Amino acid sequence: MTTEPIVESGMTFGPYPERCCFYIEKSKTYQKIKKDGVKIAEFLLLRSQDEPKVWIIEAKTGTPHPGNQPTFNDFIGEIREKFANTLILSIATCLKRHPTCEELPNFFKRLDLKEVSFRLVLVIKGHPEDWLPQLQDTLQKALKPTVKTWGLHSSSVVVLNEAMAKEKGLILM
Amino acid sequence: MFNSFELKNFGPIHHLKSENLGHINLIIGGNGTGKTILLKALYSAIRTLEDYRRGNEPRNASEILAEKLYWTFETEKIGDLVSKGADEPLFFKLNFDGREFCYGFGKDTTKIIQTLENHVPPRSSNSIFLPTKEVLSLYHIILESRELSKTFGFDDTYLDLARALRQPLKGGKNYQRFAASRKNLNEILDGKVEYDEKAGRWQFKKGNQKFPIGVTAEGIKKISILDTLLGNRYLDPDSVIFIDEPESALHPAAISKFLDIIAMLAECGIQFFMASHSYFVIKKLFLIAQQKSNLSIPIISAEDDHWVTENLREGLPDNSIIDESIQLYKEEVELALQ
Repeated sequence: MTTEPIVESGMTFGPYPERCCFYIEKSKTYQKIKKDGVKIAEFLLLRSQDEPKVWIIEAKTGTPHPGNQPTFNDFIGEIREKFANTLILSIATCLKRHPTCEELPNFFKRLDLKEVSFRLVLVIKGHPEDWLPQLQDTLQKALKPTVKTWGLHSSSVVVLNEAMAKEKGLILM
Repeated sequence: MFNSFELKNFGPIHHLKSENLGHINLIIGGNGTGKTILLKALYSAIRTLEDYRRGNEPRNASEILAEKLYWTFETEKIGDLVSKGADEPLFFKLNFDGREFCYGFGKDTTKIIQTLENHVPPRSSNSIFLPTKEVLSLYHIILESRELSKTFGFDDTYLDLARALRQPLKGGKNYQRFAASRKNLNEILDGKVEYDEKAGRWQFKKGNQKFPIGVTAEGIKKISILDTLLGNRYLDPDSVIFIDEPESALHPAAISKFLDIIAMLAECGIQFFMASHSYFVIKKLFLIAQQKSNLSIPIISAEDDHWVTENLREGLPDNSIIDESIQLYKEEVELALQ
């Protein structure tokens, strides 16, 4: 069994093994709190069960030019907020703090939250490769407080373009 | 200004022809491709044109050039500059303000350049080469080793710079654009470098405090040199400045400010040739090329055994410096998503 492919920002993600993907943006848990102005990323993907790794995926069609301020800062701020909120909501759901927590796929329910390794992955459609290093550096800097407070790996924030997302098995078609 | 140049069989450079040069010209390439040799070749030529017929200078252009090449490249004989294994002689040609200057010689040449043609009129302006090592703390050693001992060690780029710095600061009205550039340089420096005639040494002066040059930061010394050459009027708007690795000893933020000042000076007329390995230099110059419509910034790059000239105004060409930043990024992605 696989999930339906997820179409976001003009890219088609998956399909993935059913119990390994949680489309958190469409979840009942998120729909309840969305009205309170909570912004989150698209979906969670469990990449490995032996050494559990959860990738939090956010997709975008493009980025404003870094020289275009404050739009670029707003963009970075929005992504930072979405990743930070999604990380918290994912953990809160795994901890069964929401009555809708049963919607979590089984593999996620069994996660040992102490051991799981999170990655915050931004996928941008058609982004030039030579802009990616600076964007990744900027986003890593913006998310440093989140990475530090949650004790995440120092290379947890990743920016990919569509081609690299295909290489990493995120986009299959 | 240099409009174009061509080199054949010049050290590691088998053939390089570059036209439509700008007021700022960036040279990039891996180690050993010949970036510094190219800078020195251009410098030797322009200094020959500047010494020729100046004052009571008795030597002809061929004699000046042979001596300049000998002391700039410090080879046993100038024929050693010819590419190893080349069948044909070394050839150099430049076009300066629409006039040509060219020369050539074979591998057995010791000190007499047989072929030289010059159509460039005598110049009153001075050009300078800023090498990677700073010269202020080595000032006396450079002058002694070259003027008294006459030994190899510090080539002519160091000697000429030490001599240029020896000229006293001149007061009065400076070139207006130079004054603005010096103000910006002083903002980076937060003080100034002065030569103490009594003590016979350079020192860094910040407010009322004086510091020995030996304990002054390398980056400060580097920027001070440019400030001093603008202040003592060694440089004028028709000068050409060659900078080998402008990034050396400078923090990326200082590189950025330094290049902004270079752009101001280039707008004033000075022509720059810079050889660099720095990601920050290439990125900053790319941004300057986009922001300043009056500044064309050619980028002359060595890839494997051939050279390509493109323009930063048209975009950032594929190059090994940017490729390395992407490679590091990819390694980080691999590490994160393995």
